Order: sequence, then structure tokens, then C-alpha cells
Amino acid sequence: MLKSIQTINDTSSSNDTDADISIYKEKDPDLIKANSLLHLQNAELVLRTRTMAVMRNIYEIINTSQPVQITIDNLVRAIVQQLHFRKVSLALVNHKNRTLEMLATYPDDLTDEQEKVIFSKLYKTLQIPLDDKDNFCVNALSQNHVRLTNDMYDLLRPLISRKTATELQNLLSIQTSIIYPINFAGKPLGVLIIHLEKNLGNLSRSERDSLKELVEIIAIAIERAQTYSELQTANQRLKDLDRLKDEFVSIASHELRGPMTAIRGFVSMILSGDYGAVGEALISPLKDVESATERLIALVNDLLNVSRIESSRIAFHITEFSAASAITDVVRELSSLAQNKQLIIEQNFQESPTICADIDKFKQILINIITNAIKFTDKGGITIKLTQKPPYAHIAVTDTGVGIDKANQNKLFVKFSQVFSNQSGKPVGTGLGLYIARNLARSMGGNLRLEDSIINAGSTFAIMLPIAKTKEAQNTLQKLAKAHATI
Amino acid sequence: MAKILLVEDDELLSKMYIQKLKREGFEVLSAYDGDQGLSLMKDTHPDLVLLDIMMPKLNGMQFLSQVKKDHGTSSIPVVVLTNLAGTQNAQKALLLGAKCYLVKSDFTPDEIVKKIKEILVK
Repeated sequence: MLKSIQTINDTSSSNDTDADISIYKEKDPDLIKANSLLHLQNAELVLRTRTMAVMRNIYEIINTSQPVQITIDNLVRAIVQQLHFRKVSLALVNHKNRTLEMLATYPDDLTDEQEKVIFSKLYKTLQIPLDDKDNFCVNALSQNHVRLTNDMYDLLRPLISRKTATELQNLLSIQTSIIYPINFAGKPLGVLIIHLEKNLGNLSRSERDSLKELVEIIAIAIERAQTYSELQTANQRLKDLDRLKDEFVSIASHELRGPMTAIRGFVSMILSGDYGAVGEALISPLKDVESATERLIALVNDLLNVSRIESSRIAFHITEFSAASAITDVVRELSSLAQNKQLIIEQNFQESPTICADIDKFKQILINIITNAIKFTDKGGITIKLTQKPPYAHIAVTDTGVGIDKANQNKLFVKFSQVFSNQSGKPVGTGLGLYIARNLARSMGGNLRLEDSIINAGSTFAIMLPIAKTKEAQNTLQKLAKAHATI
Repeated sequence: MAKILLVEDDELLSKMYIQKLKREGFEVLSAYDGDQGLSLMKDTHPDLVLLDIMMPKLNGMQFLSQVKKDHGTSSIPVVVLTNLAGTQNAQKALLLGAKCYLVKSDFTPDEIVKKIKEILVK
């Protein structure tokens, strides 16, 4: 016991203590006892201090996100430098090949020559098979019990022979090896092996207790490093997949457009009479081909858009502009569409806010909503009301159309879910328009929703976008800048 | 009779546009890649160019930038006619000097002729 305390006290004046004890030995037995007690307590304090120092080191290691190998190298080094053991090794479970891999050792003092002599094969990393139940490391881990041995063969079997183990032990001046299993939340991570110098016997009780505490924190450090590493790999994989998907969608949509252009083009030219008069009977089926092709083209365009939105690849060019003037532009563009059905578009601008958004995307949303309104309305008209509900500008598009029943209302903004027109029983659109429109509105810090709908009376959709110079507008700009920075 | 140069590598689409343009009374020259297009540009000085982007050898963007650098051809209006979508591509083409950027599948041949006539009038 005294011997091990002496090793811990190596920075203190151990020579003096010897002298002191010899003087008092002749004299008072009580003084001797008191003195020994003081030494013991002193030794324990020193151990405590050093253990705390290692713990602090380990906390630092936990806080820096390093790869697993660097983490465990730092761990074994910290332990040796503070607690002065002859050698410390750390082995981690490798689940893929079912072994305990000796991944870190400090000090790593076996020379290449010696390594060649000791090991018949050169092991870069010793891998102990987990099914060798007689190996003390495997045993310690599976039984969750500290093991102790004076024979290195117990540690490294079946990788080396008994003879080699003895040679190794002598070369390294190691007598006792103590194996601590490392577990995190019941999951076995590996083992920590403390090698003690020759003639040092075992660890004191306090040393053993301190090590038990340290092993728990070491478990946290290892778990954290492993989790971080897994996260990085997963993240990289996701980024790669995302890029692959984008490339695929881009190429696919480009390739698909070629033949579709040809079909659309030739059918249009046939119907225009470019190839001669078209028989009455052919006009209707040809027109059907034309509209099917147009739907197909719209679908490919929408798919490309959806793919871009979902990976935040759409570029937003945010400016401040008058909502009223943008709305007027769109209404002008769609006026002929409305006139074809004898519908009136009315603009009711109660206020004239300046909004902070991407003007093209705002117009795209408006076009989508108003076109839908025209599609689903046979008589009457569409009213566009512009107001302010700070911090948002509020644009309500109301039509006098067929309305949307409760069952279909839930499906409105869902991808690919189509509302069947009550008028013709045919599906209208690609099922992506409202999904894209709402996505765009939300990406710009606003929203798009159905405010109200009554069967045979009409529906009201509302678009909301942040007013310029509000906090909402600021937040949106920051979010968009960040989204682009991560690409 | 206005002269149109069509630079398009897809044979089927090329045939379609040539038929339409000839029907509308235009004189049509066609090239199947950027290199061929450039030499026709210099030799024949068309009144307008319809330009595809994705082509072998010299692609549309490279063709465009060369045409605009050469004083002899820089004033000829170029209409990009492509199936490559994306606002970034459109912006790049417009910055390089294209008159407009049309996605082929979004327009019927009649609509393209209308656009050409609008540009030639100016």
C-alpha cells in the first residue's frame, strides 16, 4: 500500500518522508500512526486533485468535436500524463467485424524492431475477436466487471502466443494490467486497460474508485465522438443524394421537353392547316392530343419547380414594390382569359402597401390563384381586394364560382391531389399549382390559404406577404440568405 | 424576305421549325452545332438567329458570346430557343446579349413566329 502511495507522491519530497519516518520509528508509536494517516490522507488528496485534472481534460475533449481516433488518443494521453501509469490502452468494439480493436495506446513505446520481434505478423491494430470468451478484455466487457491479470497473454489471446506475451511484458516492464469495461447507457463501447509498472502490485482502493468515475466520463466522450462522426457521414450522404436528385430532375425534364415540343408543335401546325385542310372528324381528337400534351408539359415544368423548391434551390430576388401595381399588371395579362368567359375582374384597393418579396414569384402566385378562379367560375366575376393587416399586406381573391366542398378543401394544397371540376368531371391542372404557390408564399415569409368557400356561391383565397421594412421582412431576408449559404 | 438562321441539333425539331418558317415566307438556313452556326453567321449575315443551348461542340452560350464580341455579327438579334429551363440560365443568356429566352415546349411554332416578327419590326 505504501509503495503505491509513494508513486503517486512522486512530485513531493519522498526522500524527506523516508528520513522523517526513520527518525520517528525509534520514538513514539502514536506519532508514527498519526504520521502514516497524514501521508495516506495527503496521498488521497493528491489523487483526488489529479483525478479532477483528468476529468477537466476529458470535459474539454468532450466539448471539442474531434474524430473518434483523435478523441481516444487524447483520452489515453490525459490519463497517463496526470495519473502516471506505466501505459494506458483503449480498445473499442468494432461491430462490423465483431472484434475489440486496440485503437489507442500511450506511451506508444514499442520500436519497430521490437514490434517485428514480438509479433510474428505486424499488427497495425490488434483486433481481439469478441467470441473468445476467455480473453479478459472480452470477458470484462460482456460481464461488465473489472478484470485484473499479471499475464499479458490473458489480454491479447488468441492474437499472440504465451511466449510472445511474456517477452512483451518484460520488454515493457509491465506487471499488472487492469481492465475496465466502458459502457454508455447499457451499450458496450470498449475497454480501458491500465498497465502498472513492475513491483507495484495493485491499485489502491481510492485509485480504483477514481478510475471507475473516470471511465463513466470516458464513455460519454467516446459516445459523443462516435455520434458526431455518424452525423457527419449521414449529412454528407444527404447532401450528395440531394445533388444527385437535382441533376436527375434537371436532365430528365430537359430530355422530356424535346419530344413534347415536337408533338405539340406538329399538332398545332396540322390544326392551323399547314399541311392542308383537316377533316371535320379529326379536329376534336387532334385538339384532345393538343391539350393532353399541354398538360404533360405543365406537369414537367411543375415537377422541376417542386424539386427546386424542396431543395431550396429556387433563387429569390427580393425587392420592395407596390402590391397594387403588381396586381394591376397581372390583371391586365389575364384580362383576355376572363373576357373569353365574359367574366369581370374588379380591383378593390383599400390601401396601397409596399411589400417586400420577389416580384416575379408574387405574380406567379397571383396568376395561379386568379387563373383557378376563372377556371371554376362560369358567370359573374372575380374581385381582388387589397388591404393591410400589419405586418402583412393582405390580398383576397374572391370568385362567384362553383365553390369547393369540405372534403376537397383539405386536399387543396396537397401535392398531386387534384380537385375534380364539378362542371366537367375532368381533373383540372397538375395538382401542383397551389402546392407550389403556397410554398413560394411561405418561403417569402407570408402565406396562402383558403379563407372561405360556399358551394355554388364562390371561394375566397388570401395571399399574405410582409410589408416592407417590418421585422417580418427582415427575418425573411435573413432566412433566405442563410438557406442559400448552406447550398 | 427576311433571312433566319436556325441553330438546333435536334433533327426532328429542326425539321419542324424549318417547315413553319418557310411556310411563313422566311428564308431559312440551318446549322446543327455551334461551330457550323458560327461559320454560317459570318458568311450569310442573317436578320435573326434562333439559337439552341445544349449542342455538341460549341454550345449556345459560347456561340452567343462569340457572336456578340465580333463587330460584324454583334448587331444581329439572337433569340434563345431552348428546353433548358431555369432563371439563372435565362439571366446569363440575356446578360450575354440575347434578345429573349424562350423555352421551346412553352410555345407553339405559331407563337414563335409571332415573336420573331415582333423583333424584326423594331
